[in-house]
Amino acid sequence: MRSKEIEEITEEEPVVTKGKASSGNEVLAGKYRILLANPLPELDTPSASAYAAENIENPSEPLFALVPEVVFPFRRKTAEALLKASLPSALPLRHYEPVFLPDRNVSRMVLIYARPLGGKVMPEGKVTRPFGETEIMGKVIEPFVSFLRELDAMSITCRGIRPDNLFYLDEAKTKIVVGDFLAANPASEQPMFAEDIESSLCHLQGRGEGRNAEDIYSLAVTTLALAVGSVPEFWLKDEELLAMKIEVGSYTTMAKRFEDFTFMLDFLKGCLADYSEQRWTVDVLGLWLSGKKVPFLGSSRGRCASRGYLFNGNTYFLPRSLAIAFVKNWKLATEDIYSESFSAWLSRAFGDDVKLSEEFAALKKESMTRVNNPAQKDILLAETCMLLDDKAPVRYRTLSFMPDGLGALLVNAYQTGEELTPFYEVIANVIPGSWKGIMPENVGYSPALFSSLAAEIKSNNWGSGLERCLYMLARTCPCLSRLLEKHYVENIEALLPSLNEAASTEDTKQKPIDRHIAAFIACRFAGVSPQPFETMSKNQEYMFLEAMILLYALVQKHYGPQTLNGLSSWIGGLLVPIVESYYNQNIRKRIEADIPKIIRKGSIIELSAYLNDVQIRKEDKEGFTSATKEYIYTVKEMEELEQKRPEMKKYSAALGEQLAAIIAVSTVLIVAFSLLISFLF
Amino acid sequence: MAKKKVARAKNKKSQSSFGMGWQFLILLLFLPVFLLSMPSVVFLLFAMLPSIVALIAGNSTTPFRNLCLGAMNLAGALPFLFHLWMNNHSFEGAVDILFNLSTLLVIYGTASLGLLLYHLLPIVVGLVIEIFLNAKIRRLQIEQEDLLETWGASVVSVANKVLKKKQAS
Repeated sequence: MRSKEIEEITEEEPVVTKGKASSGNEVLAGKYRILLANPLPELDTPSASAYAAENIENPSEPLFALVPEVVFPFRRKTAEALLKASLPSALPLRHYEPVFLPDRNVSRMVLIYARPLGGKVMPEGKVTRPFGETEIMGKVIEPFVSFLRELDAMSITCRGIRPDNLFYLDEAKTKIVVGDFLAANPASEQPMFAEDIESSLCHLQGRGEGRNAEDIYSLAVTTLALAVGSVPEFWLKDEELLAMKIEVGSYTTMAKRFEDFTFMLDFLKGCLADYSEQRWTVDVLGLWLSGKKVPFLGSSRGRCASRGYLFNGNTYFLPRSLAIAFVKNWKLATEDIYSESFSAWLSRAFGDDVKLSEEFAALKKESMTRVNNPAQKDILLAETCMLLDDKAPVRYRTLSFMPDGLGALLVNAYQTGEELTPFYEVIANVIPGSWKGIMPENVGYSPALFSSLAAEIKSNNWGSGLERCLYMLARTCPCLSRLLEKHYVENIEALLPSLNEAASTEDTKQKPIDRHIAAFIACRFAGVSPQPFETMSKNQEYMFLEAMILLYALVQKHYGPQTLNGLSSWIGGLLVPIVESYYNQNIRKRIEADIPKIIRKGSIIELSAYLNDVQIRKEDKEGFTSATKEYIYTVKEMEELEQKRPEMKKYSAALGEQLAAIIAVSTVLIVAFSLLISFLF
Repeated sequence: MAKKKVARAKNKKSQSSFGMGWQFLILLLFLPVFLLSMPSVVFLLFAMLPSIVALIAGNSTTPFRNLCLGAMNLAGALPFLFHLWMNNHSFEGAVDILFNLSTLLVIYGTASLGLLLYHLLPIVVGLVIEIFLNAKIRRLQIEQEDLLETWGASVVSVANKVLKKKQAS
């Protein structure tokens, strides 16, 4: 059915509207040239590779570029602040831009930094010279407190302060700066010792932007490491370290043995307080630096039961520890929390504080309303863990994340091919909505968001589902469509030009849309009509294509560009089902003749208007209905005639006999009459 | 059942006695005419021999065969009967006409023509009706082909579905 003209049109080379100049092992990012053939492994981060870079206008400036391995929701606001504010304690960020990497055949957000000439302050795994009081105060605490104050004022966080991420900016090693913290998800590269207990309990990618309090904790741990000169002295194995932090507190676990650092004991005590409400703030740190006496709010390790609870062979006194044990033995715990002994422990082990017991009873009662939900037990356990440790991250089966880190974790899961069912269950059952912890104000988290996500995820329509949740949660995440791997499409304006370019490299036999693109449009195109998404979900090929064209037409109308020759040619090659959806062959021929002319114009708006002509569709349908009726009439008529055939044979015999008789009688009458006439005249 | 059979038998009996009565009455009425026109009767008796034989020996369910045969036989005989009446209405005249071979050929020829007409016309009428029937079917087929050409094969499939549904219901 495909007309030759359509085929010819699709074979035309689409016009490339956007592209990054690249030659061999060099790629351009603005006025910077990234030398992919010149890697700088000493500047690599756990999730990004470093390459030499140069400023085209000023080639002598020492620079390097960080190229992340994977796509993640880029902290644009933080990056913008870093560019504009030129913070003295951060590695100077010169530029950031999505760049196509020919060697990997993908696009990544590349960051270009000034190269730290003095190298790393504390290379990983190496013992270094311990810092003295003057150095600690002058080069680390004072400038970094000032740095954190500035970040706090801009409502952003760093989440990258750790011993091996500090650099000497100058060759003389007089100035210490924190290295990159933007080329990965917030705090995802932080070792467990540099993060507080709550953050340590999270999946690395689900730690979220967090608050200033987490940066202060990391600063304290980093300062201690510099003062000691090494990390292995007290950095135990992660699990042991975490268990000790919970049992005796972070300060006692890591700093108590170094009580000779009298000049910063208060600083360590204040900044390593495990409960963020008790931790020093940047204002308190400012007071301490100015020499004022600062009240130490103490460090609580939380509620402790008067008697232990036996679970999986171990006895737990701290609800936080029990919650961790539950998470580690999830399946066993889902059964255990239904036991009488657990309810009894909750009601008796905390003295007069009956809140836990009452709240658990309420949760259990609510759980009974979810009898038909296969995740009933898992939900109750997740809520129970939140009840036992309300500051801890949301934990559900294999997931553990801060609510503001769910988006980043989901993005990561999509890229690593992890199982997505737990995400579906978490969102569909609004589990983060029950979280009682302290949420940073700058990330725009609200329990209402999770309610709307639950509504979206339950819909199987295109533009909804888990993909929609991903783009709603990770606002800066580029579109993860496989079709757009080579194009970093972070906003809706870039979508159509990128697809237009993709037309020249992708297999144009596949549709230029997938669930990621649909969800991306639904999320980033404010006020887009839900109609195309509903139509796309109707399992009718031609309806899907028409709705897709309508959707792209709406995007083109609002965000341009005016001509999209590549994309319209791509779409043009897929229009056969639409043409075949018309019953009238004359209409088909007319469409086949008209489409190539419209495609040549590169306007999807015009194409959509032509294909979505309701009048033609109505005429075609009405015509087809009456044609069908007519056909049925002819079939019936023919059947009737065939049925009458034997009857007709009988009838014709009788008629013939009658006719013969009439002829014979008429003959005799004529003869008689003629004879009579001849006799008379 | 027995009563019904008895009633039927009675009915038949009454019908046959009624028929016999009529025949007798007709015979009485025609007897003088019969006696006066003896030459014509003799002529007709021989001229209408095929019809008489067919009437006696025939087992046709419809009267049309005998009617065709009789009418045509009579049509062939009438000119000679007129000739008899006009020229020599006598027994000898009748015998003269009857003994003429060409006369007999004409009379019996027309009779056989009647028979031929009876056998041939149903075939001809059947053929004509068949032709009309086929022409109508062909016209409907052309209409279907036109619909198929304009609306594609879906029109057939949809129509078949509707018909199947109707048949099922």
